[in-house]
Amino acid sequence: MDSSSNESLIGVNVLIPEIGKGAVTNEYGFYSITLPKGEYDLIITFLGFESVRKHINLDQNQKLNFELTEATETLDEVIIEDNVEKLSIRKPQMSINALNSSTIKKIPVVLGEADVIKSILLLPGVTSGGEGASGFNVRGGSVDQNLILLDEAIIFNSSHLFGFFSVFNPDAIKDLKLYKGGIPASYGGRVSSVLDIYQKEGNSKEFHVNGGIGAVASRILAEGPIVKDKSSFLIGGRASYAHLFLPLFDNENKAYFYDLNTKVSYKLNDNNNFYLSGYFGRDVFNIEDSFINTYGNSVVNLRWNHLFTDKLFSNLSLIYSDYYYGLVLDFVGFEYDSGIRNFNIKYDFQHYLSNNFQLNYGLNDIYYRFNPGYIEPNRDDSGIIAEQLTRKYANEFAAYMEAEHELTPDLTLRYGLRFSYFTRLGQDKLNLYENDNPLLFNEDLKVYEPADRIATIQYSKSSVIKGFANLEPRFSLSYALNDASSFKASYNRMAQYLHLISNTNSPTPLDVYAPSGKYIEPQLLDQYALGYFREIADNSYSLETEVFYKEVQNRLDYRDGAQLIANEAIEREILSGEARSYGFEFLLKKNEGAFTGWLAYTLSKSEQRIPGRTPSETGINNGDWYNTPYDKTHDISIYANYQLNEKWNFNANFLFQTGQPTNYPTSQFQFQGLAVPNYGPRNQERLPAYHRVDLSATLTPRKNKNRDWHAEWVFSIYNVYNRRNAASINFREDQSTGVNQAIRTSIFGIIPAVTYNFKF
Amino acid sequence: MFRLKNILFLVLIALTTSACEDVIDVDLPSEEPRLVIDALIRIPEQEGQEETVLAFIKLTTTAPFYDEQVPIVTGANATLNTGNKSYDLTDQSNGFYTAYIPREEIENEVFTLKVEYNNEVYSSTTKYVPTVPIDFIGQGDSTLFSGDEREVIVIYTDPAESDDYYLFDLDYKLFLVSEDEFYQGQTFGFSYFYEDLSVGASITIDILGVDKNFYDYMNTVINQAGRDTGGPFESPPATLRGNIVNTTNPDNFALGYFAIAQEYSANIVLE
Repeated sequence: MDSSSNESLIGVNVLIPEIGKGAVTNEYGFYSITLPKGEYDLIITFLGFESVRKHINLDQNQKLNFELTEATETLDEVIIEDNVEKLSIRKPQMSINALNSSTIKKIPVVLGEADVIKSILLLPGVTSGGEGASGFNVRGGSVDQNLILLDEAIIFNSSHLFGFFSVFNPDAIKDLKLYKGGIPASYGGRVSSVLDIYQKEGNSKEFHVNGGIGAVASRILAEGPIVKDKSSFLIGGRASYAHLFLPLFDNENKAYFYDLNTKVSYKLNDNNNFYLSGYFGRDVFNIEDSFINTYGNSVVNLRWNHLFTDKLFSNLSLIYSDYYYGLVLDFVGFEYDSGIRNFNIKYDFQHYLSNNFQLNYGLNDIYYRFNPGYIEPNRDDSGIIAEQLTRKYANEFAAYMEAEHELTPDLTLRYGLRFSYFTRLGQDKLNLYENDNPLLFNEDLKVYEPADRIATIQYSKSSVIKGFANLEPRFSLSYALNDASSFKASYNRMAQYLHLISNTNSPTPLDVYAPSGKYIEPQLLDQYALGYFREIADNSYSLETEVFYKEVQNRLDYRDGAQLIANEAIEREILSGEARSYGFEFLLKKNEGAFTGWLAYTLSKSEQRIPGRTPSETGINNGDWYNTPYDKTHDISIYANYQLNEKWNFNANFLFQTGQPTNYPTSQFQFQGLAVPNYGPRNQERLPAYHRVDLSATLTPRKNKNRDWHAEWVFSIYNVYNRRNAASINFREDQSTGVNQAIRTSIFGIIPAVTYNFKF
Repeated sequence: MFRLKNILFLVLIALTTSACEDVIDVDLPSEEPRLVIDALIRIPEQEGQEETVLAFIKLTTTAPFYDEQVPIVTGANATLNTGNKSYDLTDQSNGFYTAYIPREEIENEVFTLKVEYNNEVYSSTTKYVPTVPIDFIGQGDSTLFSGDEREVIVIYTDPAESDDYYLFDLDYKLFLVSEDEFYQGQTFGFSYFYEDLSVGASITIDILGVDKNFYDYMNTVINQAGRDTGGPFESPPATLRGNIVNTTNPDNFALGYFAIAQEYSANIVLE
């Protein structure tokens, strides 16, 4: 744990050099090593912290807790042990990227606000739809295929203000891991990636406050002991300034967000820790009271860490999470509330049977309640009739077991199996169609048309409408060529039972999640990855290269002209097909010295195919493969950090992405006086390439040194050369001249910003 | 339901003060011209109306997107047919083809439109869809985003029981579709906010009866014409297949739509 705060540290190496054995701490700072009796030297190393050496005389089982001290930031004192990352060379986990909060805070982002999602976009294999697009895409997957966990709770919408900020307060975050492949059996429910974020526990030694005042938002976080060394609290809040975005208009418009992170940690004894954490965030838009939009996540989470024995670690989590979306449209006289609620219970065990064999197993059950919308009149004279769109219910159960097995010193395997069972539970009105076919194909016009509902059927809430069981094998291996290089390979199958139904290229908060059921099958992924990993010059540099291939069955796309919003019969708008993506990823990192950073390059292809269900149907794009909206052939990111001296730290990043697939009109036609652009098959063209450079400089005044108040100034420039990256290109008639035009919408030009951060 | 997403997008644009739109040059793909049949036949309801109505359709072809005009089609043969009668549409040599048809027949018969052009026959069948009158049209004083829009309030009463779909022609090449899912059988009003119109401007609003398929088609047409949307929330556009089939050569399909709609109108002059 961190000596200044008692914060447990994740991913610390505990090594016994004499016998070449070691362990890595888990998400709760726990490790276990089994050794014969005898005397040993232990070395505990963690990047950014002073290493600890300890001589132990092992004659009985021992619990050893270590306090690590943060390496002082003076340059020549930064100690990075040679063997910090050696273990990861031998670990079978591949396709993983980790970032800690100090790295995230250094990466310059728009308007000076450090941001989790924007930071992971600099990693290989991760792209986004550009500015104004929420979420992120991993290895050619869609945004809803990412499992985003905050302290083990599922977060459905990771964005504030339509994607300009993510919902995670960087001050409250300790560590994040992004799994792109070789995903462990303990995770499931999404087919593309897992973003696993852990919040800080709170300082149980001393009271501290840190915060920042920025151009768009300010934040403050307080943490401290409740009972010293025993229990701690953390409370952090963030809010943007209400009128900030709408200064041009003098009417009563508001757009802002806020969020609150809280956590209480209680250490009962060496064998039992309790954590109660909460998150609450909201975005609010209010345009003259005629349009009011509120949305956000709330999460409450109780966890219990328990050591059954020195070799058996367990964590029990009880999680309640709620995603809310509300809308008031006064000019239509209409109010709309929707959301997803889930209750999640998880019990995970890590069993360190021997130094060569670790078993992870656990159970998970999630109960979902989907509210697609409750509509009511917002004033007396409104013609709207109150109506509850049919609520949907589902349960997702999973059990897994996975072994991490060191066969020989050079060959380590991890093999496991996850069993998932999804049940769509009874609901009030389930639509029925002739021949169970909700979408008809019009042979004459070669178009898909919604079928008529012939009836609805009511099921009791405890009955099962449809169940899906899937076995999800996971396998990875690492073969160390020597101490500095290894090959790794992995295969994982995953099932996803929830589908985000969106007919836009980037999801909006209004998009609905549809659970699998009578008309929608779960998505099934098979992913294969192969990698070569190497440390160069005693880990001053590291190199990671991987190739991957993945296939997803039952990927949905909507028919042409689909109506998806507040639609009670979404099955009439969608067609099912398959998706595949493959690519090559390269990551070269410089880990030591005044100059650090990385170069990431990804070459990839992501496409999908929706064939007709019968030979006479056309499917989408005639059943041919076509690019997904997140197909980016080339993706280059460079991140560089230069520590000039104690006072100044400089950062730069560069991003280049092939333009997003889009549609350009092939012709125009006239209908009722409207000039209407007409389009060919989907996603045949591309937007211009996306690229930009950002810079930032952090000034830490020297007077910080001998006082409690630490402060720093962060000066940043986003999009230095003012590239007008196209968020979209639209084709329409100019309203005054009647001439057809191509209109580029770009969101951010060059944006300078200053943020003041403090800590005491 | 109105198009919530479009409204959301406006919020986004309003939000991003540094967001910027500019006209750029883009090289576009091209394709062979296709026949376009604009056969939305409006049957107006008004005081002292005649027993026959003038039905007209317009024939054009597609053109490259940047062209200022689309070519009109002359010399085609067009007929409107009921089970036992056929009406020839007269080529007016300006793209329009017209015929007088008894109102009673229009309202009760199933019509098939046949167009013969370049030795290929295009065909489509439809039926008259009635609608309801506009109860009230008036001016409000609310604004929406920019603060200088003009609010016009439209109120109508949806018939009970039936699922009804509406197309509003709001003048100035502005259209809106609505369905009664959430106001079944109610007197329902909405506000439309006109931009760039000043005092004295005259606005004629038409309400047209449409069926579900034409509602979907017009929804896509309006969306795709980009009058009220665009940007990250836009639905990826598509080939706009209407309800017209080329019976000679199905692959060479025509664009456009054949529909017969009852129409009520109301007028307001902005104050």
